[in-house]
Amino acid sequence: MNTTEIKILLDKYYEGETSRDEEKILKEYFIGDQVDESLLEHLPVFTYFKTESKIKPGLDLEDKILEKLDEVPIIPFYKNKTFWTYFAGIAATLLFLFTFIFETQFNLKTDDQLAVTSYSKQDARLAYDQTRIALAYVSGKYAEATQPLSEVSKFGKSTMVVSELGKMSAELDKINSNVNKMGSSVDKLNKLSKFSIIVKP
Amino acid sequence: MVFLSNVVIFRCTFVMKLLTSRLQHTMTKQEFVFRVMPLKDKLFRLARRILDEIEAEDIVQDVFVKLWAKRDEIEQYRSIDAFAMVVTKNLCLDKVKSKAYQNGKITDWNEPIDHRSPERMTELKDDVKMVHQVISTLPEQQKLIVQMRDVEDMDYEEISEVLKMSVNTIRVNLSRARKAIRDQVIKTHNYEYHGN
Repeated sequence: MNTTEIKILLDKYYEGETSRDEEKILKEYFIGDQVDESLLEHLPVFTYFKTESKIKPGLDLEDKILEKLDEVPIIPFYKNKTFWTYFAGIAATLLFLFTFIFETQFNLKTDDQLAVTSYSKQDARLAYDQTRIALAYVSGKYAEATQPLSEVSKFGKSTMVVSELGKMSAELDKINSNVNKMGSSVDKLNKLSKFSIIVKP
Repeated sequence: MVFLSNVVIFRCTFVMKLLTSRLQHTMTKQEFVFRVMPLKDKLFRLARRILDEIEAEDIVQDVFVKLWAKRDEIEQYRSIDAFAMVVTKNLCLDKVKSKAYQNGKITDWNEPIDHRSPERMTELKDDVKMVHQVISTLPEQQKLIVQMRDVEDMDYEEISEVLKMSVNTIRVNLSRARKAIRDQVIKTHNYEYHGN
């Protein structure tokens, strides 16, 4: 690498445009003994980076880290949050499945067995009678309860009375026509009064 | 019923798979130490860029404890290096914030390799110390970028993963930091030259 090439690389370097390989070339150049006098001002930077990359922590750091790692408590699985999420998921699904099976399969079978074996004709008769008595009792009470409601039928009668009012309008029509007739006879009487004026003198 | 039992069977196999994968992937302590311990120097240097040497060592210990606690998550990251550096960076910045750290605190300085002429060496030593001082006055992000790129020689993608910045922003900041260092060195050099 000659000085001009290094200068070009340096310009790129300060613009942040050099690749890692190009930066490696620069670093190697400045570490070597043949650094051009005109480029000496860049020497401290690259020397600094080189030495910085070799800095190491105290030798006991590794032991300190291992010691610290031993102090970290190991969390047992039953204190693990994710474990419980998975566990709850599985448990809920299984529970749902079992209840479903129980409802559909197991329960139906017992119903069939009960229907075939346990009821005799007498039992059925007894059940029929009991039901009838119960229904009769209910209907009796129902009838009792509806008794006060019969008063409501009076409402129908009173509307009949109201309908009689229709007749009143017919009477009114008659009165009206009579009044008209009376008007015309009054007119006739007026004409008679003219006659009296002629007679007076 | 068939549908339901299918659902249950699917769920059970899924859970079993998860549990077994967990068992397979959970690292033993030996594995963890083997894979993560080599990073301690790099993490220490990164922490040291922001904190002093003693605090940097403490931070590195904390980082290892944190990584051990999150060892299941490590698998999800593309590289353990990036994840470890993210944790280190965050812990350091937290510490700086909590302590209201004085900016530009200067850490101990190791002597450069001595294979040049002595008179040039003393001059260089001062200049190298200067570089250290200039970097310590830069903003935290720029310090970290310089550390990761120029000292640790990391590629831009990895740095952007650690700092959650775009590659372009990193380039711009790196350029600024490099120019600031150069300008300061040249300025001091000229000043000293004129002074003499």
